[in-house]
Amino acid sequence: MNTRSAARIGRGTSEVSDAVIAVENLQVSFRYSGVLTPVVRSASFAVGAGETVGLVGESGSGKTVTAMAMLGLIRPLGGEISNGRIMLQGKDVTHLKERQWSDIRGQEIAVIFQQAIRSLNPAFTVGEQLAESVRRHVGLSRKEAWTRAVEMLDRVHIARPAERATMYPHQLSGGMCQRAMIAMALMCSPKVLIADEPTTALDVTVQRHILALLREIQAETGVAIVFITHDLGVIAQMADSVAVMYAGEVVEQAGVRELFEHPRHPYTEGLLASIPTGGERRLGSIPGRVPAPTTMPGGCRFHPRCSYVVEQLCTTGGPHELHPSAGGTSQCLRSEDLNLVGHTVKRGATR
Amino acid sequence: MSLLEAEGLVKRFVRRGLLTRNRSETLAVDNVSFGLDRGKTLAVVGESGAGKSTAGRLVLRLIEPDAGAVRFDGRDVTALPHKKLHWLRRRTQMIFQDPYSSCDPRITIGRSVTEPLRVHEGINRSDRERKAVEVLDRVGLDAHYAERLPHELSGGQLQRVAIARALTVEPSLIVCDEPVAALDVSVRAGVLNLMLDLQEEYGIAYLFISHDLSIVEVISHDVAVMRSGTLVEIGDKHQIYSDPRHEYTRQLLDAVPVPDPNRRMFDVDDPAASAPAEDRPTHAQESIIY
Repeated sequence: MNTRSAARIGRGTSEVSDAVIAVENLQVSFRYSGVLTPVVRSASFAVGAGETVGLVGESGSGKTVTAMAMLGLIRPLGGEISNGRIMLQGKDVTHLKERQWSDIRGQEIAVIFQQAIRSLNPAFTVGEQLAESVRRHVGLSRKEAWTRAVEMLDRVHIARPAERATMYPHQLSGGMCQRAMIAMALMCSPKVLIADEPTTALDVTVQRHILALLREIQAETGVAIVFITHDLGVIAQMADSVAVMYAGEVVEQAGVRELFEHPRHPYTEGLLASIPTGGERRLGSIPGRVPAPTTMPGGCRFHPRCSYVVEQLCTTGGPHELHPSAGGTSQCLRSEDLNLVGHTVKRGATR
Repeated sequence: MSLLEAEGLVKRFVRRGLLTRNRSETLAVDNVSFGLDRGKTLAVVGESGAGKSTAGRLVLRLIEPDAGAVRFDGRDVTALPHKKLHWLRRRTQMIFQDPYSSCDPRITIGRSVTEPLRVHEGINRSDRERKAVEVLDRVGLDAHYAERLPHELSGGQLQRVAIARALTVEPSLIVCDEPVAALDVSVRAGVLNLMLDLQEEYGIAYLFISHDLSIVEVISHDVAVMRSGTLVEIGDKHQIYSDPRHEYTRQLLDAVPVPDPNRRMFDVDDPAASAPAEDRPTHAQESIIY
């Protein structure tokens, strides 16, 4: 799996035929006091069947906006896709009408969010909410859809599914709600599942079961997963390859092992250094904060926070682009001559 | 002698039905005892609903225990009359999870930070301003932040402000309730490092409430594991992490995702992994179904 994803990343943004979903040079803009401002400037990655791509970065880096674009939810949010395209199973879905999207969403691509309990409708039973999508997309009868819903609750290991289907969201715990959300997302056997921080609000013991469940379902159905999280521990466990986002750009992409061992962007190195590892009493941190979309610095967008910054090279000119770099891609112009420190490597006196 | 000793703490919450006569009782903290030495960190870990925060509030007497005692610096805090509580308030401080709601949105950072001084010391304005700049500098914020309002700062900066505010009265104990849970990983590391520095410099003790075992391993000396209101295990950090005695501690530790892609935890061949261990309520206080 890893060599496959590494090969795909090597091809960068070029046409990827075996990708279930591909984001190519995506630019998403929103209006800030009347001015159309890119929030995501360039995001490119592709996910194949049965594969999980992790999307990581700090808050404000554009992870969720990218996910919303993949779900056709940018226009309802008041923004627009101002460049690039999104290919879903070889079909360009970038500028589809809302009516066309509602045929796709829930059917071919589905999503689970962080706050499962807020994503469910408190006024309907879990079973009714699950049944709705197959009735809409597959055209099953009320009764058939209900049977399917109960089956699906069983599938996500909810005990006594027939009884739980008749319950309302507030009667279930957070972990149970997230299972129900996963069940709902899977009702129409989508080809792509977007998981936006699905376990961040859960206790660690519950998180463990939910992550295992996602892996199990993926192995069975071959669904492609885009996994958004800021938790690199979860990324290490779940992702086949990783796209690191910073300030609306994918700044590095690589297979997960490669990324943890040999990061190619100082931002990735910083993120890896901030992972608590047993015993070490000091953690690495990245000074400063993600710039706002209206005040993006010139040159490399990470340069004000980068400890390897070189005047002129890094600080001037237009935005930097992703370029191939043995085993992955990186935006950093110095990626070849910087010997960046990975996570599994023992951190020494390298800095 | 320990700086802080909690002995047999018990706290019950009673809930009455709005329309019915139903009365349900929750034992949020059940016979919990621990000690904390000067300059050390005791982490209280456990899942949501385990009673961690309640224990933290009991220690500071923000809520009254139903039984048990808290001794701070040799004095029985639980017996202090309300008028004497300022003695405790001067020596202890608290930092909360949500940095946005822990600052008054209408007053400047400088005023927020020195408010404890106004209450406890009654020192004049220019001295307070000088002190504000001093403590802000200590947590890594420029003097000009004193003039700003909370909405102008990021979450990480506001959490530094909360720490600065706690520092002004030079406390010997700070109860930190999930202080970095709302922060980004990169920012989180900076705040934790700051807390470690301050402990080294001023010998502050932390009661560090957290659900995140990877962070606890970095910051704590001792660890107390709570479950459904009871303390299941307490001990030295190294012992807890390398040789947990209680099955529940082991479960918690095993569930932490290992940040190493070469050690995958979720074996697809293991069907038991994705199913919940037992069908039982995880929360003591609510009959939620797990």
